[in-house]
Amino acid sequence: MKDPKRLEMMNADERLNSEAQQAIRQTVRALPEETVSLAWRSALNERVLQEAQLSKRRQRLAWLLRPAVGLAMAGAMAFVVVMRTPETKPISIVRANTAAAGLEAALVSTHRETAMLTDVAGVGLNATEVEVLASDEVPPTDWSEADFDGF
Amino acid sequence: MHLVAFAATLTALASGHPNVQETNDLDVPGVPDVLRAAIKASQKLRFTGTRVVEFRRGPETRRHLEYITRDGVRSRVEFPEDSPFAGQVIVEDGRVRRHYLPAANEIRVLPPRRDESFGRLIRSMRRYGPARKLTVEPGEVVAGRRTQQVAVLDPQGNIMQRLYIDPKSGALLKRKLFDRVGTQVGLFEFTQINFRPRLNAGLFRIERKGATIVTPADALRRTAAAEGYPFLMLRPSSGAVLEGSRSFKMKGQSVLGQFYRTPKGRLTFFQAKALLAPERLRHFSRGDFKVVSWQEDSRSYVLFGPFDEASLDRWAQQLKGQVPGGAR
Repeated sequence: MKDPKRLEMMNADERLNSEAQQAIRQTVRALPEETVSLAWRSALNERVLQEAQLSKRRQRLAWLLRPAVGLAMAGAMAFVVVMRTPETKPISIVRANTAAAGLEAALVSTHRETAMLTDVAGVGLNATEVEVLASDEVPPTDWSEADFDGF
Repeated sequence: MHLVAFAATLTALASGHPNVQETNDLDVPGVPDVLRAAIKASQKLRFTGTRVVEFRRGPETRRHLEYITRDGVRSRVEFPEDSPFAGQVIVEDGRVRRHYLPAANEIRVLPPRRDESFGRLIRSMRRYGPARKLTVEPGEVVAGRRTQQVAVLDPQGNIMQRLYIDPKSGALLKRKLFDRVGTQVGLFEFTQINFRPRLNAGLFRIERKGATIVTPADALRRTAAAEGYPFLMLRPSSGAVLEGSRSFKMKGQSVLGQFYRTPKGRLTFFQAKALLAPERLRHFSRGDFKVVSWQEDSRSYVLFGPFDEASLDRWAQQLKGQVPGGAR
């Protein structure tokens, strides 16, 4: 009994030595050989060299410009901070005063009303208590109807 | 400890401590007989009654009913079942005012207020002299009783307040207060009164086990902490007794107000989280009372009251000298 792998290899050799394969081999050998021209190679080399030089020049320029750009940006930021700081203070003060505008009158009015309206209250609730102590929810009384049955 | 100190202050108030005693001395010219009689009677009147009370603040007028029981210097105030104050009870025994708040289950212990109304009028007459004029004429019937009307006028003849007094009993049955343009800003009026009530001493006591006792200083400490303010307070030994405090939102700004009673009138202390202009405060006060203010850390502190600036400065120094949270 023959080995199946060996049989498969023998078949492949037979197929390669067939007439069709031999014809294709002859056709391929008959094709003309093309060679790259020296002029084209030279042009390519020059182009590669130019690109490399340009890239080096760019890197050198970037190396010089990067700190300069950083310095310029830091300078600009410092300029903004320095120039804006004196403006910020007056603006904040003005805002505080503007926001509080009318508050002085409201305080005076509250003092005046509180002093005066206490006269009305006497022993009862005064105006401030009326505003503050109006309870929305009063707990239910501790007494139930059953508690009053004995009366 | 502060509760004990507060009780001592109230005792001093009642016993006539020179710092806090009321100035109801009637030795002031121009006080009509009917008013003198009413002031004297206020110390011994006995009655029960119902009164309407109205306050106008800003554009709002608030109105509520009170049930009053009075026995000399002792009093009790209650409110109808449908009132927003239903369940609250206020009693004064001549020395202390106790205000029971059912929702919070608190009893607020305060200085008594019984002498406020007449005291301020007499002080005003003593301060302004002839610039305050009183006129007497027959008044309307109030709570079924014919009254005498006493009008308090400024030098130009503008009516500042009207008092309606029952000449038989001396009871003040109705009072109206007006602002500078004659608008009524405050009113109380008895609608019913009984001068022969059946009273017992228990009416003037509040006993509620489990209720928290809260002094004005306690309430102030609580409000200040909640609103992010330092606890600054004038001590009773300064002659100013704290009656209450509250936080406000005014013009979008947070404000904490403290209200003090002094022998010479009412003192108000405001703390605001805003920078206020002292000249504007003085301008709006229009010379009616003095103002002292100062600023620290973008906050303003203001004292108002009918005092000389030296007195206000003394109080201001006491407040400035307090370490936040250190005042007791």
